[in-house]
Amino acid sequence: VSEASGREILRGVFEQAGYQIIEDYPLDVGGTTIHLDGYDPRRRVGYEYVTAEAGDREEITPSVYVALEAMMRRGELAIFLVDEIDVGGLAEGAKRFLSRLGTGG
Amino acid sequence: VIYGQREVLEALSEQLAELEHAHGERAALTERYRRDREGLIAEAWAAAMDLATAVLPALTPEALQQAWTLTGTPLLQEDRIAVREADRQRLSARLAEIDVDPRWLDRDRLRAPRVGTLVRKKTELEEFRLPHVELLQKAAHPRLLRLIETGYGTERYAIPFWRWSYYQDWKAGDEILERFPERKDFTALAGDLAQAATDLPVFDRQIDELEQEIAAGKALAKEREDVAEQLRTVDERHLGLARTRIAEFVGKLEHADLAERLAAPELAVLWRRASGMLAKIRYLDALQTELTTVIEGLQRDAQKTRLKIQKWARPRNAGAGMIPTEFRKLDVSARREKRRRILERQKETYAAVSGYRGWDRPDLVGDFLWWDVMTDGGLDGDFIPEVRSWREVHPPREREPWDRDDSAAAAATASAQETYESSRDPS
Repeated sequence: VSEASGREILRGVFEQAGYQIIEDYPLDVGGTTIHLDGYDPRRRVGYEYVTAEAGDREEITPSVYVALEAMMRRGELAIFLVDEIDVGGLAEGAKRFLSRLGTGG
Repeated sequence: VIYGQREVLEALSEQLAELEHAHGERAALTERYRRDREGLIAEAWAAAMDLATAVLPALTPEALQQAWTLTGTPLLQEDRIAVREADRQRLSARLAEIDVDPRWLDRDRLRAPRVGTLVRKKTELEEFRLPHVELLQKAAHPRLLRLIETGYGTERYAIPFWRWSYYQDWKAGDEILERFPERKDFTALAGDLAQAATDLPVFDRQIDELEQEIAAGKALAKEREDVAEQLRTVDERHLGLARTRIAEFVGKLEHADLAERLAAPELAVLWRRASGMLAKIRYLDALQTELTTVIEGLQRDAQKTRLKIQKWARPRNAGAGMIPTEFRKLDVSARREKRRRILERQKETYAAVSGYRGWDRPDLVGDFLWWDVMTDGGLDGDFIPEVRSWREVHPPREREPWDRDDSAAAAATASAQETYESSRDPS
């Protein structure tokens, strides 16, 4: 599954669960603006590929990654982080993530 | 009369067939020598060693002195006895060293099959290792190592639920757990897997160390066996080496060099055999060189003839002709006969030289040429530098009766002519 296909799959799963996804959404993380692959700003739920095939995720630096996870630990938002290249069964994983949030899947 | 294309091509084809036939016959003779040469060399070496054995019956100062007197081999200067004693001392010292080495002293206690302490310890470790291997084999999965490292199924596991890898771990854990229906969850399995993954390399390292220790002990036992054998045979080995030196030394000499020194009948026959066998190889090598030269000439001639056939076969030469004086040069019958005679002479030479066995002839004393003896003076040997040189210092009037044969001179002329002609344009 390529990253582009993966993003399609995730958008489908999230929208089916009722989220209004905006792609490449700009988000301030610890003073750095990153562009999330998909994000519902009203419900503060989204998804992001952090291991990009094309190498175009330079903005997700280790410190940004740490800051982003810290925001999640504080309950400020919930982003499904795709942190491995192998994404077989991605839809199922995303559904489990949303189910964990109690919002679908 | 002008000869036309067809006649010229027929004559050229016949010429080519004759050249290829002549080449094949000579190639067969050289091939035969290639096969025979190894056996002749072995025979020559055996003859030289038999002589060396006779002149050096033991490795004693007296025997060395005798060998020096008889052959001139510089064995005394090399002090072969001192070399032997140094070897004996080295081997004895090493044997004594091994004999007090605990790896040798305690060999049975350490390495006896089944009951040696090292063997038993290794068996024990292999038994301990086995359940771990079986467990890890049963749980084999591309993510198994990661699950163990991250502590999946334990409190140590810290991958948050928003990471995709969390769900990959979850999936892998479920897939592994399915193979262990007796375990209610992965937590029950995680400890055993982690323990197996930790212990297995330790067992492997310990087993490897034991194997190395066992192997080192076996190597030492083998070395002791070798050293003891070398020590047991030290006298005969050094005697053999000294005899080898004699054989090598006399192998570089001419028969006349030692004929007087080795005049005693039992030694004379051995020296004749040794020097004769070496002469035999030199002569046959020279014959091989001569044949090779002829073969190369025949190959060149055949190639030229092939090119001429190609040229004459061209359609534009359909009307071409050849004058009788040129055409007659294509006639192969005269050359065929000449080649046949020379080949016969070469075959005869090969048979006479390679088959010679008359080492016990008592009349072979003083200065003589092995070539004349082997061919009974009936074959020309001027293609051999050694024979030519002999002729230069022993003009025909001084030759022995067996060397006065006019046919030899005729064969020599024919041989030289064939070598010359084979390098010429056939037409």
